[in-house]
Amino acid sequence: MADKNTKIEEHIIVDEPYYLQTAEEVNVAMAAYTIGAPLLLKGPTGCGKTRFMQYLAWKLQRPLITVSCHDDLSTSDLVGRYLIRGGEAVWNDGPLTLAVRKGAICYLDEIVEARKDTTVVIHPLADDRRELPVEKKGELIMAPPEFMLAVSYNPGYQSVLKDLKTSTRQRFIALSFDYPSIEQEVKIVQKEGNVDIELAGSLVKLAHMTRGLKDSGLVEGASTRLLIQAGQLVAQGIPIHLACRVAIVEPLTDDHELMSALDEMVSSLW
Amino acid sequence: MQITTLIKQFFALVEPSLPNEWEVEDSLLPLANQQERIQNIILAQVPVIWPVSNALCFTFLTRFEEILPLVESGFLAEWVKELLDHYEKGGLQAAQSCISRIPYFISHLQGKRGLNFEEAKGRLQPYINGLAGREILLLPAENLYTNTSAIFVPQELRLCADREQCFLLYKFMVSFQWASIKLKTLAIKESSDLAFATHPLDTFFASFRDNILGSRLYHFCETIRITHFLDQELPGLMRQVKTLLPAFLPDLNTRAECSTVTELLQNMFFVRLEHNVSSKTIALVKQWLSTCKENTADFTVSKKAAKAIYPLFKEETLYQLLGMPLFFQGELRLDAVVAAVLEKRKQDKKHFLDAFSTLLLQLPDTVTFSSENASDEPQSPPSHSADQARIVIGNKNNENQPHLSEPVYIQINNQEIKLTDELASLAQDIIDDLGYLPEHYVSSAAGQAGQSRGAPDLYPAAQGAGIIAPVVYDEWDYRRKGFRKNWCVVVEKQIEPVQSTFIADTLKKYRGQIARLRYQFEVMQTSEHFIRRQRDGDDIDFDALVESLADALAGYPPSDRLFIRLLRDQRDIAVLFLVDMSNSTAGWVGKSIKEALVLLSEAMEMLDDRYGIYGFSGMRRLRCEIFPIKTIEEQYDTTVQQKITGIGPREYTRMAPAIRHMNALFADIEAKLKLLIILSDGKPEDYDDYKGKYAIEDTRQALLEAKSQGVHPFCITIDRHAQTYMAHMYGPANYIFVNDVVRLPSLVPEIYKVLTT
Ligand SMILES: Nc1ncnc2c1ncn2[C@@H]1O[C@H](COP(=O)(O)OP(=O)(O)OP(=O)(O)O)[C@@H](O)[C@H]1O
Ligand SMILES: [Mg+2]
Repeated sequence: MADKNTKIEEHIIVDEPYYLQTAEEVNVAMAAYTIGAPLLLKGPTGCGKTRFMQYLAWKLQRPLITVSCHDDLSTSDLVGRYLIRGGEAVWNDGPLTLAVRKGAICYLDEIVEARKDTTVVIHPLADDRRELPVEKKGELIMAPPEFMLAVSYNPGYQSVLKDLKTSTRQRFIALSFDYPSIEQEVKIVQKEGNVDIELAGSLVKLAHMTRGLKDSGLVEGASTRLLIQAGQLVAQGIPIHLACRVAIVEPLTDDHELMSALDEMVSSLW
Repeated sequence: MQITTLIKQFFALVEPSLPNEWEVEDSLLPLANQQERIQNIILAQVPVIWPVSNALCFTFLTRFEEILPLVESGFLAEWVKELLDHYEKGGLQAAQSCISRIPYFISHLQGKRGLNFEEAKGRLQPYINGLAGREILLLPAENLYTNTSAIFVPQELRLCADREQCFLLYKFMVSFQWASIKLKTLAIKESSDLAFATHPLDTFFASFRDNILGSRLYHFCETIRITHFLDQELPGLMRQVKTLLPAFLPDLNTRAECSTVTELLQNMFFVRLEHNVSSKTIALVKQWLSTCKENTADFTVSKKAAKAIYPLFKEETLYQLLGMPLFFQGELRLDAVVAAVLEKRKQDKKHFLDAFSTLLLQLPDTVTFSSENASDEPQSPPSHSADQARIVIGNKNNENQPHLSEPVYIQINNQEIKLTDELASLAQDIIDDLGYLPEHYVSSAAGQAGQSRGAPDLYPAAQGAGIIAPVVYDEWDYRRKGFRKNWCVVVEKQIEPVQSTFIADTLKKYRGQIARLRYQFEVMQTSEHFIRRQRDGDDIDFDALVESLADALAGYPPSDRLFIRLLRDQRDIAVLFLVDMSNSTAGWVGKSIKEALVLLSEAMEMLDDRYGIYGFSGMRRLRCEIFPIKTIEEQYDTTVQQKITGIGPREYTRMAPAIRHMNALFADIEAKLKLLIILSDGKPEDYDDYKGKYAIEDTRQALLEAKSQGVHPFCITIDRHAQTYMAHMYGPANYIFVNDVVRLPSLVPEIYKVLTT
């Protein structure tokens, strides 16, 4: 963290990340950027939220600073703190402050995991004030127009102890991410998993079968990410049955019957 | 006996026939070196088989070595009967495969069986749900068939003894039936007239001179279409099936070069065909079958194909060509399909009426309803045009988005009423089924809504007798936006403890799950975690320390919160489970709820969380009943178990007074997190006018009261059609639907776990 100031360039995404637009999300996000509104990305795991942010950052040519939230994340972790260097106290910007100063995009992944008292520091940034009070330094930083705040969360199945406060959510432009349509998902798996269209098609078919198992006790079906990984394993020469077993079946569940049912789907498809 | 003696004996046995001597010698050779006892047993079957078929008799002898185990086990005579049966039904090839299956035959007779349906179901049910993307129930039955909403599967497979092979056969059978549902082999097309409860295919089959033959021919064409679909859709399955199939289908010509199951089946047909007809006819039949396989083909193509192929043959020939029904085809049970469709239609209608009347009640009073419209079913089925509801399809504002073709508005009395998503998809289901949305559905819903608008019954028959220490609660009347004071009388009633095997059975049935849950719950309890930046604690928080030194250097008052403390028991949770005991929970639902309570209690024992369980039911506002099953102080013991056993369906679901009673109980409980978990199977409803919007609003109000008191309500419901009102009552994300009642017992503890971690 100490040397963040000097490394902001590293957060610039040089090459265009592969992102397949599934609806109007790119246009909406660009418009949100223009009006200075923050983004809330909702959606199940592995459906492209992180990738979308990378793409957006590239398109806007802004550095992207990602913070994965966890329940130990403190306000200082986000905003910054004094450190001692050579017997002297030196202020060190946290990732959020850094992003605000440099007009970067700050992406708080899985925001609900953060403690509620931490989440409130983004409030003044996320409304039309667009400012970040750095209390310890007694500084109030106004965000430049280039700065953008984005947060993500998976509304799937939350604990009552972890829900986004209304006052937090009502500051955002919310984009709902879901699994892409069949054709799109096939394209993504083909490209990212480095497999042919036929295998990609079957993998997506398998994903749809697993996503139909909500009533049978599988809370979330296979994500695009899992399909891609299975594809990549195959491209590495792992036989398809094994690849599906280790990249899809096992990660999805520990339940014995469900696992064997998933195995049956795999053996039906290939 | 030497070979020469054997031959002599043989000729004596088949007298007066005079078979070719070298042929006799060839077939007797394998027998030559055997003990005389065995030779005699085998020869004893010759007079039985010979008159039926000479060729079969020779085959029987040449394949003697495979038959030998039957001699040893004493089952030969019995098996020969079966052999002759097969021969008579399916010719020499059928008999050949009967010989190949001797090992299964023996193990079956010895009482070893392959696999029964119950054993396969745990794996098959989620498998088929996954294929279909929705639940298609697999139910045990005598024979294989589908009624298009469920698949009926034979209890036991008598085809083979190998468990994995049996499973594969089961899997193929259900996959095939699923494909036939998906491809609409038995579908009743929209708007076709079901008034006489006949399936349109019945009429179609009756148009053949021999209707059974017509249906067999149609089913054969469909089978080609279905296996072709499966070859493409599930190539892995079909590859396995292709290697397995010849052992079970007598006629399959395994020598032919076939790359798919479809080709294998077609080939079987063509081989029979070649002996019978001109090449021109063959070409015609082939042409039709390949039309059935085109990706655009639907069941009407098979109908046309059947119509076209039928007259090409004599009927006896056609029977021969088709051979025996294939085991995976299943029966065509048109009556069952009709019954299932009618049942679904009834359910769709009920759900539509419920949902639409609820929607109407939520609208401002501008829509006027007359209860006279409420006459439910018209006397005679009206013509479609007369009974068509006026609906607006598609998104009005977005005519350039044609894919949005769901119904969006319904017109009543010249008013357009916008449908919720749930209603739109219900209406779509009905339109898919009937071809239109009947006007009388709409008017009945309006009628239902109109009736509910009336004020609740102000003078319910007082039923005060037997009330012990009743408590009185207010009730919310949304129309006047105020409470009816002291409106409901709640009484706590004891549940009689019941002794039965229920608890023991449940503990046994869920043995594994309980062990796992107890482990998981134990882990939850001992979850330790560090809290940083404390004034005192077990360890120094270095981050905080460094920070405070730095702050001090920079001239800021340093913080004194420099310690880390390990927190062991942060859970301070009190939870009340409120269980719906209305009469709609009779049967499966009730049993699952009870099992859920047992599993939950078993798991909760591992935690220090305090919990209570209460049931509720009653009738009218003066008799709302609460049944304590376990108070929050009580231990989970035999009495509690017996009370759980004693839970049974009672009367109605006036939910709000029960919730208010729980709120009152919570008021005396100190806890950091107070949870109220409601297990219910439907919407609030009482005998009087307590239903619809009135009941929903009152319940919502009671839940708001709970929240304002710091209680988190959460509802687990088994009503799939609850969408419209659940979010409204509980708020988003405060409820969950459990579609499969059977999973309720394991899900409830699971949900509790997720809610509190
Ligand atoms: N629309 C898309 N275009 C291109 N790639 C995609 C798209 N959607 C998903 N992917 C692929 O899926 C993978 C997983 O997506 P990503 O990591 O963005 O998921 P996520 O939504 O951030 O998940 P989580 O909530 O678990 O962090 C990506 O690495 C990418 O390869
Ligand atoms: Mg991500």
